[in-house]
Amino acid sequence: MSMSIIKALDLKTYFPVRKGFFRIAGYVKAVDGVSLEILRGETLALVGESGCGKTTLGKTLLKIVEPTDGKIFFDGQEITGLNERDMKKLRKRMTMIFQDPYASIDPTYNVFKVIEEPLEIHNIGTKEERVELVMKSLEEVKLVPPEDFARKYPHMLSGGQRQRVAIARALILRPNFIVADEPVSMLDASVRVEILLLLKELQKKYNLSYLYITHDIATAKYFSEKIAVMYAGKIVEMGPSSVVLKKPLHPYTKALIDAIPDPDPSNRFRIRKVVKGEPPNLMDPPKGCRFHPRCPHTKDVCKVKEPLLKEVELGHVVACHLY
Amino acid sequence: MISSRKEAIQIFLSSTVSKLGIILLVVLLVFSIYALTAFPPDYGKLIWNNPKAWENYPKSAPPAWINMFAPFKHFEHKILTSSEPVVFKAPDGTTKMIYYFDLDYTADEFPTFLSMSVKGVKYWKSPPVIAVKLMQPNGKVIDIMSFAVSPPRSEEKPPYIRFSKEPLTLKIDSDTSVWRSISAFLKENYGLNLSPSKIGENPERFLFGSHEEGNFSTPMKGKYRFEVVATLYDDKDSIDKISLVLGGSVYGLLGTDVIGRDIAIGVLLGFPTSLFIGIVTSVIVTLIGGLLGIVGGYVGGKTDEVIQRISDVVYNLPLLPLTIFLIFLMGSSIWNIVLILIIFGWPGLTILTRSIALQLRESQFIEAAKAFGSSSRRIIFKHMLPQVTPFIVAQMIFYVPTFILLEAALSFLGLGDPSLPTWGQMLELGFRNGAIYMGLWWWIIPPGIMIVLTAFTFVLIALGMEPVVNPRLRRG
Amino acid sequence: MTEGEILTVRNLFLYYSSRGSIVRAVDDISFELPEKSALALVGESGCGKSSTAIALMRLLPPNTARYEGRVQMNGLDVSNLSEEEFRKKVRWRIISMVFQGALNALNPVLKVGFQVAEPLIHNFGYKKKEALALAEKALEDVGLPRAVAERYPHELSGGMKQRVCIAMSLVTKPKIVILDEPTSALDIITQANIINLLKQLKKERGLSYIFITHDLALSSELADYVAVMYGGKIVERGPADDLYVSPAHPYMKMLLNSIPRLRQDVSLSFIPGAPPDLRNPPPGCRFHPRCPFKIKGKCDVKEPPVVKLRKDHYVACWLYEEESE
Repeated sequence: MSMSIIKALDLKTYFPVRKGFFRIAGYVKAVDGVSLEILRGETLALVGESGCGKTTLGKTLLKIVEPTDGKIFFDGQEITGLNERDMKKLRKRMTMIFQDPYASIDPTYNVFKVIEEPLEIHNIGTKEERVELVMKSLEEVKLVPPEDFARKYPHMLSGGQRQRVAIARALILRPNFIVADEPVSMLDASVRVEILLLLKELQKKYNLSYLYITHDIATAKYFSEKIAVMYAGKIVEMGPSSVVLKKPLHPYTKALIDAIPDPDPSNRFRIRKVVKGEPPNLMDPPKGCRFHPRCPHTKDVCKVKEPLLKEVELGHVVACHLY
Repeated sequence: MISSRKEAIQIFLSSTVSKLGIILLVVLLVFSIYALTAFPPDYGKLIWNNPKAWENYPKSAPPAWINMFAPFKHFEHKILTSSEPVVFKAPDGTTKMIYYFDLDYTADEFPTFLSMSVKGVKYWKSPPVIAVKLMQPNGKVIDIMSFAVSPPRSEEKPPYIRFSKEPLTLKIDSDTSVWRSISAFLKENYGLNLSPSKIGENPERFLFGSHEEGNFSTPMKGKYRFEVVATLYDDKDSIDKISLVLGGSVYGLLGTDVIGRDIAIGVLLGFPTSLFIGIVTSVIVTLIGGLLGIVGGYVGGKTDEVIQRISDVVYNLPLLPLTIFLIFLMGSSIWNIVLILIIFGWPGLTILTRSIALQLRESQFIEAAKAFGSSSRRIIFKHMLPQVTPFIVAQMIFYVPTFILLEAALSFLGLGDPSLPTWGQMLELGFRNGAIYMGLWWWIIPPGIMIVLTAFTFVLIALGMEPVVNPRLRRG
Repeated sequence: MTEGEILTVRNLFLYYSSRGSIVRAVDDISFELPEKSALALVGESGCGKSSTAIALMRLLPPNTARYEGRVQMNGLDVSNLSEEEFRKKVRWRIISMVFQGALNALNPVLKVGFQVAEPLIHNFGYKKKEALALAEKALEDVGLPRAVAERYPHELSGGMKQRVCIAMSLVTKPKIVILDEPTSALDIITQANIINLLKQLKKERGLSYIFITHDLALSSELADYVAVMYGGKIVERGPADDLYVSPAHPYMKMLLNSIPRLRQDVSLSFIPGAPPDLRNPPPGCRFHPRCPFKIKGKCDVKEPPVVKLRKDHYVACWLYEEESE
């Protein structure tokens, strides 16, 4: 039993763009050479704007999307080449929570069926045993009384309640690793904290590891020990959350942090420092460092050579020619 | 999204449209069941298409009820059957069977013919003799005729069987002995001197004519009674059935066609046939098209492309020329027609379900099921099908009238199955025989209305299904 | 009404009827917006803030059950204006709006320039050529190249589309602009850019904003004043400097404590329970079921009156019954 629950080595996920029946116009390089590792009981926040590839990375780690290149290790075992049949057994141990609590649950299923589904897919337990497990899981996510909630349909629940159902579903097989893709971004501000605290509680109880995908860096600080910043399919900075957020090294990380307000009335007097431009087209990213067209510190080398991740201080790596 | 079947049914029944549709559907089903149970399965081939079965019927006769609206009362074609014959032994040792046929004459015209039908005669020694008498309302009695069953042939042995497969039809009005009897009757009762051949021009006139009005030009109205006496020479002799047919110019509920077939029966037989064609074709087309659409939409890639291209091609094939060609090759049985309709019909649904499947495929809950390890088959049946089913069911219901109309159209163009009395067939025959030009409305309008009504029934039901399928259309 | 106020709202109501019951989306609210200021209208989803915008713009849906109130805009009493007069004099003249989900509010088959020019053509009777010229200028003012006028919406990025919607709301030169969650679908950096643009436009043109959002941190980027909505009511309103630092109402206090801070290290708490059902709100103070400070027998029985704490700062809470200037 290894310390690392999930590891990716130079992972690449490219999506071909077809023109007509046979010709390929190009590839969307959603994940373009990512290496990371998450230990047991640890949370890694994957931060970036939409279109940077973070959702694709999460799905590739779970092999919901097939990787194009690179290696993935789950609990020490390489799973890159496993076919779907062999993966099915592992799927009990690696699950996902999706962003949209309205769309990630089948609207024609009642709460009981939704949570029962993983048990049914993997043929676990008799009918009575399953009822017991589902009721227990409802209590765990604080949807009580469980008998009442089990009978309800998704459209009768609030966003926060639905997300709890999704969490219960993800946890019922007692996985080791959960990819949480923006689990609270569609919920009200006051409900977010509640859900994140619930996830943290469950993590402690079951020694879970999370990949917490989000664009909301502020929650990343509260929820995760490590943070990885992603831009245009690559990881540009990674390290302990408090360190990266207090002393960001990569210009993009700095730009992200600068762009996020805290509730402070003096904000209205300041024009915020914002980096110019838009994220690049993943089919044809800029040469060299992908961020160079927008970076305020661009040097000549940045336009030509891709920077590699370098350890600048203990546990803190950054891919930038400034270092 | 619908959360349960119960809710779906509730929504469906909430509109008046669907309630009306259901009522009409029940009516259709009742008629269909009646048609299926009241007639033997080979009725179509044996009787419907057998002109001999209808030879006693008036040809192209309007329905009898037009008499209610016409000042001139037409003679309604009648097939008289008697009550049980009175059987007794005569003093001379023979058995006499007396059949009584009553007729209440109200028409303003004479019958077009008079014939007697004898079925199933069995005798051992001498052939039976059948005598026909007519008692007029004014009390006078005419001895019309006396007829002997054919004697045994040389090689025959008793019992001698006659008229068991095909009944004997005696055209009373074309029998010269009858003319002579009538002539004698007239001379005796009215002192008229009319030669038999003169009477033979229109014997009915003299049988039923009124002497008071002069010259027997109008009928004597009132209660008539035919007395048919069969004399049997052996105790074991028997006669199955005797009936009298008076030819009329109007008949029945919906009149007759050019062969003399009762159009009401034709229309009735059309119920189960149309429903069968519509429903069977619709269900099979839905299953094929729906499943292919879901599979193509969900699996994607080359499979989807293949299915799409095939359905595009088939969808755009010209229905009519190919149908003519295929019918020419395969023959025009009803199964071939159904087969052709299925072959050409499935792509429409494929396109619809494919687009729904494509949409669903991208939904997060399908993704979630995959993430938890669900197989594609399980996703299709447990997640996609429940969402797609309402659409498919609505489409299926909508297809029923489409195929009924298509079959009617094909039949109308002469490509249908002539052995099956479908409404389209009736229309085709009518048009072919110039029913429009001759004003034989009773032949064209009933099947036409039935086609429309059946289509309308299913359209109503499909409309009722719409709020179930499209939540935005739901009331309240 | 008071001098220096561009907008004064008194006792505004907006109820909807839905499936047999009445939804009390806006339930007797009063607030004011001084000239050249921005008011942030904050609250969770379902608290009635979007409905307030609809009420102010008089874009009433067909199932409106009750609509009344006294509203003054730019010195004009608009409450009693007819629909015709409101359309001619007020909507898009004094007050305009950038709608929630504005990215989807653009017609995909019309060119961008034409859509921005539309209010000028329809409401103001400009000729097409003139209107298009003004539209191009408006696009420039929001930081887009004039050539964008010839593009279709799907050719633009999210940020650009949002700028187009802002241009649309400004082309008729209104005094007040309602921004309903203007950045909710955008990336962080794009969002910051748009907020910067809004700050700049406010300064340049002396605009007044009503900035509707559920994101408290974001609201502080623009707000001079804040009005906190809960359950269809305004529970606290006042200057931003007060409300973000020392709020009075328990809801605002707890809301502030539930926001993760990037630059500070504070422990987080959350508000247990859920927002009330606007069809059947709780008796008395709407917040009392979730309030840790509730006074039994008072908060659950009688609705608290709006009390003035200090200049421009009002709160509706029984805890402040005795305090007033």
